[in-house]
Amino acid sequence: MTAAFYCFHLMPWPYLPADFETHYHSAWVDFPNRFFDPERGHKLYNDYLEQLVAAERLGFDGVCVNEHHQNAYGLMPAPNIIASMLVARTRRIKIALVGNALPLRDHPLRVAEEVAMMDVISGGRIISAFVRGIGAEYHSFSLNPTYSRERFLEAHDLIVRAWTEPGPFRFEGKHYRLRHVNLWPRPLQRPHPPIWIPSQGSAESIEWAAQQRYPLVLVYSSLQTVRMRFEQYRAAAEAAGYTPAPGQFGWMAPVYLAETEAEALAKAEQHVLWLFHRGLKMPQHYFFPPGYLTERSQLSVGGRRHFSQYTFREFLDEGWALVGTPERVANQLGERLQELGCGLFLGLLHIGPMTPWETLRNLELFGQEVIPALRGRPAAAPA
Amino acid sequence: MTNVASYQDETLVVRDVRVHLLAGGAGEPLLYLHGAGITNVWLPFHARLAAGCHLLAPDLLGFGRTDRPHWLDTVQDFVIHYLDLLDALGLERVHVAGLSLGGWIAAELAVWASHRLKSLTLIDPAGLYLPGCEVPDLFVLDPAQIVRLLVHDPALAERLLAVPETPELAAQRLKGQVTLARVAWNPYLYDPKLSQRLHRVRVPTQLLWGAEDRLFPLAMAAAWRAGLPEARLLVLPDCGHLPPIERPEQCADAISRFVSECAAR
Repeated sequence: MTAAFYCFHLMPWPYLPADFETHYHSAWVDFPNRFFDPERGHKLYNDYLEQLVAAERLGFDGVCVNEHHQNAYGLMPAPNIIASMLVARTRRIKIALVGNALPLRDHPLRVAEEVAMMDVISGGRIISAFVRGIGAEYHSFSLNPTYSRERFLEAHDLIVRAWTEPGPFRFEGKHYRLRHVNLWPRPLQRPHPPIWIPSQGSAESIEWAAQQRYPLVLVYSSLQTVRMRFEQYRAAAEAAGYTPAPGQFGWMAPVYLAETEAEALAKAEQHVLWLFHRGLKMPQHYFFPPGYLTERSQLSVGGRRHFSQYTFREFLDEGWALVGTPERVANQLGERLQELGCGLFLGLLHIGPMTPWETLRNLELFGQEVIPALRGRPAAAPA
Repeated sequence: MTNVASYQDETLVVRDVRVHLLAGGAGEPLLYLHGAGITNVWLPFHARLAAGCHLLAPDLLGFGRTDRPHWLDTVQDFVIHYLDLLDALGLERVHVAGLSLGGWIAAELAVWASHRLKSLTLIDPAGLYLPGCEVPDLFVLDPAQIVRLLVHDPALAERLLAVPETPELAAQRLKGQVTLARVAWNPYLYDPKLSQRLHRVRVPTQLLWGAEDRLFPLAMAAAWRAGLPEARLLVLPDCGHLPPIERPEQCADAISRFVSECAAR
């Protein structure tokens, strides 16, 4: 099998105030919403939609939307709204919801319904990833982070059962109790749309995803971390009695392409640093509210370096981002996918304050040069 | 009054929970329920209290060295646990005092089981909502910001912050934060039902309040007195949210006096 290539978008709000670095400790939770200008937002959303729609004609296998709340990092609090527009404006590509943040919903059946609707209307082109939302979201929604994991698992069980079991049936959980689960419409794909699990790599999530045989998508990680997490997944899969396929390993990373190496490096720097130093700027206790991680995981992140402590050079050298000419990036990416046994690549091709022109060029270079160069290259099991 | 420096440090099992308990002194039994974050240490405040009564100071459920059971979801679960603890200790009736989260638990205990109490002292308690009174969100503050918010005297706050945190205490602080979040994230530090239930408190009650409390401002004492019209209020001047830390003698003596007054009940 060959790798599949997805175009990932965050839809960030790039117009941060000049004193953002010095005066604001976070782009999340309490970064004032007066900095969102709806007039500019109108153009921005429509530019971003054009970019995702363009991914189809440029040769991508799919596009990815995602969910984040009350921040400048990403303007898609309702990913299913963006996805439904993409369903109407594309014909061939997969549309991956990466993902719906299940614990943030008081009614998971709504997720089951919306995804099923889009799956039926799109002719079975929906991929349904499930996430917990990042820690900041629990502050923004005042939602109890200590229930995050159990609400996630329970909502997941409810949704999968609603998609697959004949209704009506009763569901009695701790957080969700429904006497008449009877989903209309049912999804088109059988048994249900593919489920992916995006993660920053907590041990609990990796083991669970492997047990469920759900593809794991590692986001914002160094190559070394990706390698380590994939090994954990492989070990958990073997423990569960099977050998995972390359399609169960996904990796999301920012990519910046230009005609020359020098231009790519010169231009990518501000965008990549915008993403990690500004878009993801927040205090540690916003990222990890109490109980969001298990106490075992929480103690282990205590010493972890914050994104803001990395330089552009380190992001490149450690493999957090891919920057260069299409030829060089195709070689680098091909080697890495091969080495990792990774069959799913999610390229973040709009980064931070990139202009529409720059973004379309990036998409074009990736879709027309990198993807064709990598097509047919086998994503073999790691040596 | 002389301080009692010696105390027992014990762990007992109450149903499915291991409870870590500090106990000292003799006389009227007093159950002291600490606030979120201050556990495990026999402070001058405890020593002074133990001079006048038999002090029982457990680590709260899910704090310090006491387990956090899987069934802990709400403050009412603490109530069940403390009734179990009193049964396990063979104590029919006790005086109860509680600070902040512990005050909220103490008030709930009195709502549901006044017959097990001889007196009730609430120290800057959580538990009620007062419209227009914005309680700062502790969960968006870092540990140092929290200490500076809660302690009125800046010099004392800095002295407390200068004490290095052992790995064991860091782990316990984390555990306590998770427990606090579990029971108090939303609604934030109150139970919307509590004000309607306060008429069930049928035991002599006093409120102790730091005049300079920046978490629960003194104005909130009025909301408590609306529900507990017989309760007396003692305001501690130049004191923030933590009277047992900032005014240990005054706070301990106010509790001891009240315990003596109510001992005959």
